[in-house]
Amino acid sequence: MRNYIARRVLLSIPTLIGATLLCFLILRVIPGDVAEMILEGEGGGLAQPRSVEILREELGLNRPLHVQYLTWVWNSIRGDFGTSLQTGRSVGGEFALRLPLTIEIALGGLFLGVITGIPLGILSAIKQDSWIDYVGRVMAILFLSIPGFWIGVLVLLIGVRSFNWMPPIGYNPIWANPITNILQFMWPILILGLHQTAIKARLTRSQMLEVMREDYIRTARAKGLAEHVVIWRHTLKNALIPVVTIVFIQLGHVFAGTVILEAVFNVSGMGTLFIEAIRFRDYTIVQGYLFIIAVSFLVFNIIADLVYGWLDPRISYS
Amino acid sequence: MQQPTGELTPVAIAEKTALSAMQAWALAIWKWTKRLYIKKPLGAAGLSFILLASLSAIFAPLITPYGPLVQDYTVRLTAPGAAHWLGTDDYGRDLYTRIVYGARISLSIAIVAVFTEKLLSLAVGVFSGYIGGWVDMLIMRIADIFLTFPAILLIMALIAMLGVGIDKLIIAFVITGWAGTARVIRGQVLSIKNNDYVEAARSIGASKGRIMLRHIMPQTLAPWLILFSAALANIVLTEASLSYLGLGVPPPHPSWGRMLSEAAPRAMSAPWLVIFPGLAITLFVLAFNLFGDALRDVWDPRLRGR
Repeated sequence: MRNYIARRVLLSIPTLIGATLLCFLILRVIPGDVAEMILEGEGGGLAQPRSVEILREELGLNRPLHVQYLTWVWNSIRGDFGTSLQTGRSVGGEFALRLPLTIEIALGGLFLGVITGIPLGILSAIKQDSWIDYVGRVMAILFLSIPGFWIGVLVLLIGVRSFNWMPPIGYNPIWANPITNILQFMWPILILGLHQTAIKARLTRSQMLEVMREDYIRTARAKGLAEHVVIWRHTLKNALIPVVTIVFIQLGHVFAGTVILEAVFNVSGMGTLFIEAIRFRDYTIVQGYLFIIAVSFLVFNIIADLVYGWLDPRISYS
Repeated sequence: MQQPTGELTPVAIAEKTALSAMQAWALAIWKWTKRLYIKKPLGAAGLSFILLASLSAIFAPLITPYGPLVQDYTVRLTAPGAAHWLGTDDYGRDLYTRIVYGARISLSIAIVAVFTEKLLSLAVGVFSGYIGGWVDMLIMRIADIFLTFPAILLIMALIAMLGVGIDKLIIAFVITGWAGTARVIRGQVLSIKNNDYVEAARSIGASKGRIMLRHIMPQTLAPWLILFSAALANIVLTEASLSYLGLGVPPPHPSWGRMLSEAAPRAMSAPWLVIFPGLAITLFVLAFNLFGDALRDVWDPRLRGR
């Protein structure tokens, strides 16, 4: 078991190197000189060659590319993501302020999706081809197709028009001011949750149907087990194993899903920070966030693998 | 993956009925569509909508009364009515016209991007799976790297690098999209290449290129087309999101996503400006998803009935 974990961690190292190299390179081959861009962005007009030189020195841009990469990776691992090119503030500090907001939306949406989507998927599969299944499937595909940001815009429109309601401004931590916090995050969480419900319901339904066609289910029925025993003890247990692991693997996508909802509801989380950074080509922030996403993706993948093995005794780690 | 429906393939029809190849293909497509309409009404509805919307996009100038960029300040922010079916925006541009032209933009981006990306991933997947060995391992590790990031974040980072523009958007979609499909296709190839008929082709001296192109690639087309349809839905949605954020289609092209963000400040007095473009996105994505699901049900025997 310990060997397995060690091997799994070692195997993900090349991917991590590749992924960090990718997000490093994407932003280093930006056309134009970053130092020039920063100075011209501030003052407007052409930058002095002398000050460009100084800034390049300061940012370490005149060092060889591989040195820049290694320094960046090493600093990022220690949690030092450099300073924002736009505001000059510490990127790590900025992340610490904003991550809680994004995590609240992402986990809230995921939680909603799991507690509604999985039961819906189970119901749909048990009642396959009945009207319940039909309605459930159509709803799921509809939720999958409606753009979340459009629902957000409509919610704001109806809120302001009919109820004179606006989401509270500024961040109120849930432990300090729970009601304001909930008012602020309710809609992004609900909208993200709707999408997650659809994904989880479809996944659960197809896994259930697959297991229900297995021979051992036929055997269970043939030996006269009650239907609820067949469903709950034999089908559900096996069908949910891949569902649980896929929930872990898709965590990164849930985080990506908050980006546009944060923009719609004016939540100053990682998403809005990322969008701003993209607009201003603030590559330290973009790189930093991509680094966090890549590392957590790999970590959650390993966790998913372990959970899979833990839930399914047929998998051995030898 | 098995052949979709033995009796309906053009070859089978041509053998039985002594029709020309052209006619056999037409008949096969006709029969297949008829079956889809009977067995999968929702998927067929999706297909009908896609065809109708594509036709309107192609013939946009013929079915719209105004130009998409024509401004008329005398009719600013008019509510939907006889002259302007879906109302006008704050430059007095006709919303119905702009939505139809928006379909042109969205569809062309989606089709060009998905076609390029899927051709690339088909080639990579077949090659990687058939050649095997360290080449395969290297390619799959590279695919892993791309799959580490949720596509939309990587696309946004690429846009920061490349700048905003339709061509750049398509490049970003292709770069970020190939890996997933290439993996699926490679997986298919691994099981196909051990078939006896591949061995037979090899033993009569067929070249690697010929085996890949003639004997392996056609067997992967069913899952490929399913992913193709799903990707169309995905890209329409992603493009709309990016355009909403100002990172997608640049002005003056009418784009549904940007129409929504431009309309937001006017939404109070002119709600039609946020309702109809969003509805257009939803219907498009829904149609592609419904059609994709139907394809999956019909073609993937393992998933039948899901």
